[in-house]
Amino acid sequence: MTKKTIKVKVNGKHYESEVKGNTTLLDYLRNHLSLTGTKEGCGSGDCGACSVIVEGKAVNSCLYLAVDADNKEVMTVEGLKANGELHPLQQAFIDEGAVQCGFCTPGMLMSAKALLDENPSPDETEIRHSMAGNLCRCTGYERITKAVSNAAQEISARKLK
Amino acid sequence: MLREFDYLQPESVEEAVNMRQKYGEKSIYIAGGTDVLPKMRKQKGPVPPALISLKGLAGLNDIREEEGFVKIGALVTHRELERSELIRQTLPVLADAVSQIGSVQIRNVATIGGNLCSSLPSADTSSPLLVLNAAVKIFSLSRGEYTVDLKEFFVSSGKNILKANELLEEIIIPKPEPNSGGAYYTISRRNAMELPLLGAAVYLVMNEAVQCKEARISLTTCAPTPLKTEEAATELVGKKINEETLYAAGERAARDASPRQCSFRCDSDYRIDMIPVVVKRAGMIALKRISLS
Repeated sequence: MTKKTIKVKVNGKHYESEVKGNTTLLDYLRNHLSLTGTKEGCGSGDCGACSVIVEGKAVNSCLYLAVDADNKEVMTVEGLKANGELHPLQQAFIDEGAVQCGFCTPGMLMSAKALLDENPSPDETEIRHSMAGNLCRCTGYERITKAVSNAAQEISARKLK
Repeated sequence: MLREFDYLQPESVEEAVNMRQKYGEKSIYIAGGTDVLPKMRKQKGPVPPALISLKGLAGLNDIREEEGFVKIGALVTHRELERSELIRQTLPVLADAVSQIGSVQIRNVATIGGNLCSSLPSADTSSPLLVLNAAVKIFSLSRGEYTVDLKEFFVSSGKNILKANELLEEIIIPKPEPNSGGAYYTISRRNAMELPLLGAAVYLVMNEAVQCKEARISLTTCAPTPLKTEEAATELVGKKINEETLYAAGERAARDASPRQCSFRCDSDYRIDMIPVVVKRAGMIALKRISLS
């Protein structure tokens, strides 16, 4: 199987790599770029643990081929922290106790980030509807929803300053 | 891990169709990939000789109005449709369907063309498009472009009329006339991330006397193909539309249904019993939308 060269910008950094046609974006991020924040839960697009943001849109990286990310911008959970500071979403998850085993958390954060970029002040129904593709076996979703809501308010407040 | 396959990236419809000719019928088109890639994880059976990506095909990504029609390119994603003002205002019955497919992550890549070409009786976009009297434009290597009514498109579960040298390009929907509207209502076990156990798309055209001038009903997941029930819809013509008349039409529609006997998701009896309910609920939403417009 021939390899293809792809140029991808991940978390603001440019990468040029050779990948096989059947390499998923998930595999590429974890095993080629050693960005292991993104997790594999089901590998079939059902759990959302592998969610990343491609060109501003949340996608399941287990169902996205690396070759299709050529010339595209990708954000992973590692890209949330800026200048040594946690993103308001990450801080809100900690403050709210929205993390138990932590396995769903990167996907949750990516889904939430994509949501808030599109809709800066979602209500609870909108949060739950937008994040329906991210499953959590530990928390029961209450704290996660609250954390996203809190983060939205914090982000808006910071913009007003 | 996905099985090893050759991933081809054509840049035009003609190039894609020529590639499939070259690699044979066992090669698979892939658009969003949410149906195809999970199948590539299974290790049984021969590997397809190639996966032919449709992502790079120009001209199939638009939603536009043209000469009294709404035209949707086959590569338009469910998320684009969900967020399109044109679709939400003009064709809410379709917006109902796309907004409940999978998750945001799935809808960001999965395409309406892929949903139709899966030709599963549970394909959510099929019934809304059938009650909208949609047509599909197909490119054929041997005969060029041609258009066919969507109700001729589905053959049986998972099968449609597309030949090996053909590709779905566009869905063409006549713009709704005044005093008309539709809705799509489903039942499923979960609130999200689930195929419908049962769905009904109901489209009503009313006259000034608030009687039904024309009705269209299509059912999802209760036959080998999406089921547009002409007789049941005809029963509503000339009548006032209310819960009783809609339920009765649903009971008539249920007589045409033939749900799978051995579905592990629910009994066929349950589907038959619930058809009048979903038809009634979809019809009442459609009626409300017409009165509000």
